[in-house]
Amino acid sequence: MKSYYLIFWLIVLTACNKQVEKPFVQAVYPTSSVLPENLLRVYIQFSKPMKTTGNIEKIKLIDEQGIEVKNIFFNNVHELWNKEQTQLTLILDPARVKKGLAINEALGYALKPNRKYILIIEDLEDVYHQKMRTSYKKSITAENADTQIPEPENWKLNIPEVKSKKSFVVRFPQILDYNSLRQRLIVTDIRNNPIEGVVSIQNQETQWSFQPKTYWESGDYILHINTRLEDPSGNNLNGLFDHKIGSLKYKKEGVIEKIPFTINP
Amino acid sequence: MKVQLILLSTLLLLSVSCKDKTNNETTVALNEEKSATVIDDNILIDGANVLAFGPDNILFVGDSKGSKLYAIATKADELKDAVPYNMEGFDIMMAEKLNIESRDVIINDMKIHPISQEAYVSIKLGHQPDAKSVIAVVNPVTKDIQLLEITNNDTQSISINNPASSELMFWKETPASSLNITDIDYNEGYVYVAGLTNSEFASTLRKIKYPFTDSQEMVNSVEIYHAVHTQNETRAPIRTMLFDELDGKSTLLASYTCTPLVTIPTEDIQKDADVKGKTIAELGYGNTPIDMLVVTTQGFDGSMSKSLIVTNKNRGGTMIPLNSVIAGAKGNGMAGQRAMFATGLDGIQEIPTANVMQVDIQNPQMLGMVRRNIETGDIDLVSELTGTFLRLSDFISEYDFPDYQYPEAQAGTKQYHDMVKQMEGYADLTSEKMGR
Repeated sequence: MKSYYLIFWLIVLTACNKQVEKPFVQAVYPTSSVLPENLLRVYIQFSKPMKTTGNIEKIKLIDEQGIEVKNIFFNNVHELWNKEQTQLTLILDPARVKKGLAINEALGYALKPNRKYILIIEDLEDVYHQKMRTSYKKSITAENADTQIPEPENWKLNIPEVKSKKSFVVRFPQILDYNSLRQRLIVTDIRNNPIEGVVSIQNQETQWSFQPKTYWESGDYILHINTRLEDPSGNNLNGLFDHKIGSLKYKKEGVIEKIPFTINP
Repeated sequence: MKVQLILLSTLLLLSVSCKDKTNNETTVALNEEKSATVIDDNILIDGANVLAFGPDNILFVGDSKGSKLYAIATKADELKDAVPYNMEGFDIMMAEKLNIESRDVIINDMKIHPISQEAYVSIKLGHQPDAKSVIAVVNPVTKDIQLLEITNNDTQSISINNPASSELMFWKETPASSLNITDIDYNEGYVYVAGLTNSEFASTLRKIKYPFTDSQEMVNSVEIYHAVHTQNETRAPIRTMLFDELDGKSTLLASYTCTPLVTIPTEDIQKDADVKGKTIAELGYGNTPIDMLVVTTQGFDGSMSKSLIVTNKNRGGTMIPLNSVIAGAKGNGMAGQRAMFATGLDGIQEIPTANVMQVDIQNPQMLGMVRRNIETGDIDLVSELTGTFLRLSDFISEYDFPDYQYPEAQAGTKQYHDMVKQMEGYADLTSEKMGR
């Protein structure tokens, strides 16, 4: 008799658990917990499509005293979501990041160096009105402002062996922007034909790897870098986010720089 | 055996109820099926985020999801009278009309037709990534809500180039980057589209010829001249903008994501030109502008004057005399200073527009607005007298007590109250009706 009850409740529970799974935060980029005081952009990756309205108000940054840092996020009329509605972009108030503005002069950067903060993401709802399974907390320690542009001459390339499917790896001395890394680097052959493969980003966004679909052949290749490639403080290869007028490397944004490399036979 | 049967039947019932619960959580999908019976394809648009009226009754619709700009011909009968909107619970009305739940009515933008005074409201049907949009057309006189038909004959569209894809043939548009159209405006043969991407702070101001041709111009980047010693410039996109004649010169007034109010002579906005913008004011801390309008208001002395108003998300708006804006545009730009709130021009005032989600000029006397009703939580479509920035019916004061008598000195107030009460749909509460 008892086994009937057990099976009965097991089936009931299983049936009820077939409800739509509640959403959760899969990752927050930058993944490092040490971030510059002039941090501009944070991505929150959710497990499933989310509602795209009324979320910024629910995300909090708490300082060491447990006090909320108010109005820190740029609360755009339409929130910045990817097309799948699984990734939300948080922009830290650019007025606080930009030097020379009245508010920056009065209050400085929103984050203060050597201070600790907690980013709390909770109660956001998916498209079916279901709240997050659990709240997500990310510890942040602020460090001095990032005032270095990403410079390819400081990158280290790891060139794979011929006839292997090993990854072509690029290591950066600084953290670069996750989304920007996914779209601003590409490998081609010498005739600019793209090589098919899979990109992955590792070591807290300081490493970019490209694994080819087919075996590497010997020959010359090119790593193309779109100079729009940014770090999390909005500095790109063309200049700092907050730069002196006329100091940009190229007049036009989006110029392509190239790093050739050879796979020896 | 009996026990087994009872258990099995209970199980069946329970599993059905559990399944029902799952279905309740997918109400949008269900309702989309239901509403499919009333919503024809010819009123659906892939995405309608931002609206703007152009010449000859053309409605421009910016679709962020599809990276498209639509131009839709609208029909309009001229309305000369100033007839207010008093549609409280507009989101609930729309939900009934669309056969969906009010929490799935997502209002993206609202613009008032310059000829018919009809409110055009872009609405996304539910939260799903693939949910489509409609444009509701609300008549202030009949209060009738129609859904705009988007027929091939009356609609043109153009794809908005992604800056990433145009730079190298193989630089495909990747899912990592999506464009969020923040504002569109028509000016002298061109539609200007401002946007923000979720990934990088690229300059995304586009200038698209209308009627549409194959070409469109990406404005490379705008250097914003900021008259501080550092003369720093930021790679920041425009949030909201408008074109106006400032002292006889066509000028783009833009509010940037880094909050400054910037003026750029329209003639300077050319492809590959070295566009220089000038910071004339800062709009304050944590400020996120929604709409900018130039309105004409009447002062207490009866004189008429123009002002720039900027409404913000989640906080009060800003009003600046247009004369100050003109003086700022002629000057050297804002000098470095320390301030936490709006600063840089004379006469900057804060205005109580905190709950206003969308606003547009309805007629010379009124603004039409979509706002969150803080008492009911609903979304209202209402009108306000331009310059007052409040609805009398939002407040209870001593004037509302039944035994209140206006003294002679308050004749002007009485007249104003009577006019506004009628306007806000409370004609039965005027002083005449109340015997005051």
